[in-house]
Amino acid sequence: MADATTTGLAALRWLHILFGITWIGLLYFFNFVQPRILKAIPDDQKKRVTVSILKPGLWFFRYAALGTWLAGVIYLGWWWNTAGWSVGIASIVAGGLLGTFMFLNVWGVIWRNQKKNIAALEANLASGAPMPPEAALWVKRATFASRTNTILSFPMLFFMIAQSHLGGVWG
Amino acid sequence: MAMKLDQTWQAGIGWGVLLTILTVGGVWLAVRMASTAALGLGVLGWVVFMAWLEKGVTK
Repeated sequence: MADATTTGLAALRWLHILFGITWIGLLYFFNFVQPRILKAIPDDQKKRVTVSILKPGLWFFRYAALGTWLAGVIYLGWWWNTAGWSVGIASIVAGGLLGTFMFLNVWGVIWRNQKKNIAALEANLASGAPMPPEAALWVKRATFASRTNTILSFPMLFFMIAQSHLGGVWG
Repeated sequence: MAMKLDQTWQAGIGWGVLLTILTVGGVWLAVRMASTAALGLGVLGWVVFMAWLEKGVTK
């Protein structure tokens, strides 16, 4: 029977991957699919469709990011505490750092700006309140951070999986 | 499907590549020098990126 460390690390790795595919899957949806959906929708329906997609989508997105990061940090801390530092751990540190920057972008930039944008869109749809002049800036900042996260996800995933079969990449 | 790179993608690719180079380069240096101080390279890049988003993106 596996010991507590082996079982605990396996459970954390599973949670990390489960949350991670949810997070990155939604990231790719927001960056590659949603723009094409909105382009095909008549202008008078764009705001309502945007709110309908963003409100539930960003809920799963940001909590999946939180779950991914927490499971990853606990896993790495536990593993480090058990096995100690070695060159072999460098790949996971590189992937983990990139993932941490992405996680901070999600909560510190994307969600912080999009929640203001969603509130303004809902007020506009409900009562015709004009969109604040800063709204375009909120969307732009969130989009820049989201595009950057999409690009960062490629090396992040490479170094995450490299840990198990490219340990020698660091010499 | 034709893909046109707008301003958001150009910025995302530029920052994504720069942050990757700084972060992975920092880990590489940390391994070479056996010091975690080099990991600060990636952190520095991310701080500059945050400052650019807040102060540089104004219109």
